[in-house]
Amino acid sequence: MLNPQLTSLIVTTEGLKTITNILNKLKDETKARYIILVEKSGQMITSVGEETPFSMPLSALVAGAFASTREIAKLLGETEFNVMFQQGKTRNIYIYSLKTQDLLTVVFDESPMLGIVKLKTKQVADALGDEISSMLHKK
Amino acid sequence: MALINYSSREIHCKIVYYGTGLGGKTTNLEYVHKQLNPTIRGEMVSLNTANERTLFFDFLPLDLGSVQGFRTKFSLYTVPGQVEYNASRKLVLNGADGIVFVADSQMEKMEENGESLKNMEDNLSEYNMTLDSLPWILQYNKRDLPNAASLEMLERTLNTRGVLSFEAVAYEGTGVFQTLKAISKEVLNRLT
Repeated sequence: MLNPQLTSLIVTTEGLKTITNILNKLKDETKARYIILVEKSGQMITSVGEETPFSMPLSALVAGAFASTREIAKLLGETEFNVMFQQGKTRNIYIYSLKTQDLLTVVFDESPMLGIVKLKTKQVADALGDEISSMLHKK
Repeated sequence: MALINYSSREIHCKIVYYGTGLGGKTTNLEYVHKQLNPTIRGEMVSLNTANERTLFFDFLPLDLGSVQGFRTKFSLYTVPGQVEYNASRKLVLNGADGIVFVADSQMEKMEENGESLKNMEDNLSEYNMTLDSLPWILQYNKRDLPNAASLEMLERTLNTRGVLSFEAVAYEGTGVFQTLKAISKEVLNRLT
């Protein structure tokens, strides 16, 4: 039997279903290629959209990059920057830090979608944070 | 701490290789990456400086089989050993389930090893963890060098808690898999 005291997050089937529904809706509304939910230490909780063989290293790098910006924020006297955006020629990545400090990572193509991505991501952030918190409290 | 996914029946654990600069942490991961079949390991990612030293971390995902019906996935990380990169070291330690402390066996590195171990304890304390609260093991690397300290001296100086320790020559693979096997076993033992 697994010892729940030694785990930070237990992803339940029901919890994952709720999260996946939220992420799928977000993907459709933002026309994202894929969305990855990354636990703060760099593990992937789940993803929706296109399958990517790089989801594990991407999760580790996203968590690393975001952890670094969090430290930069502190040096500048901010508690944290809760958003990070990288714009490429064809791909963009938008990362939003939930209240649990887990990272909602949206990968999309069209830069005109940025406004929608910002808006919709913010709208679902609380619901996702609540769901993750409830799984944390189940331990 | 580990992430357990009941839906996909997977356990994800994070193991961090810690230690002094140029001690062989990256070499451990490179050897594991080189030896394992691509079906059970992912690509290794290294964030290096221009002169190939670790700047932030190396990352290597591994699939280590099943335990009690759960697939076990391990993420191996290294930290940058250079003293000035402490902020990065601290970030990589976040969420660690187990640690391999890679000590450089060379006599002249003994002081640095001690400082790095102390630094690891200080950084763990920032996450409310101690060396007694999570599994960790020691690897004495570079055992092939003529100026290597004796095993007895390394044990006396660095292993005051009596954790598992292994001798290694990481570049040729000696001790690398024994170390990995031991830490993954310790981590899974704590979970089950």
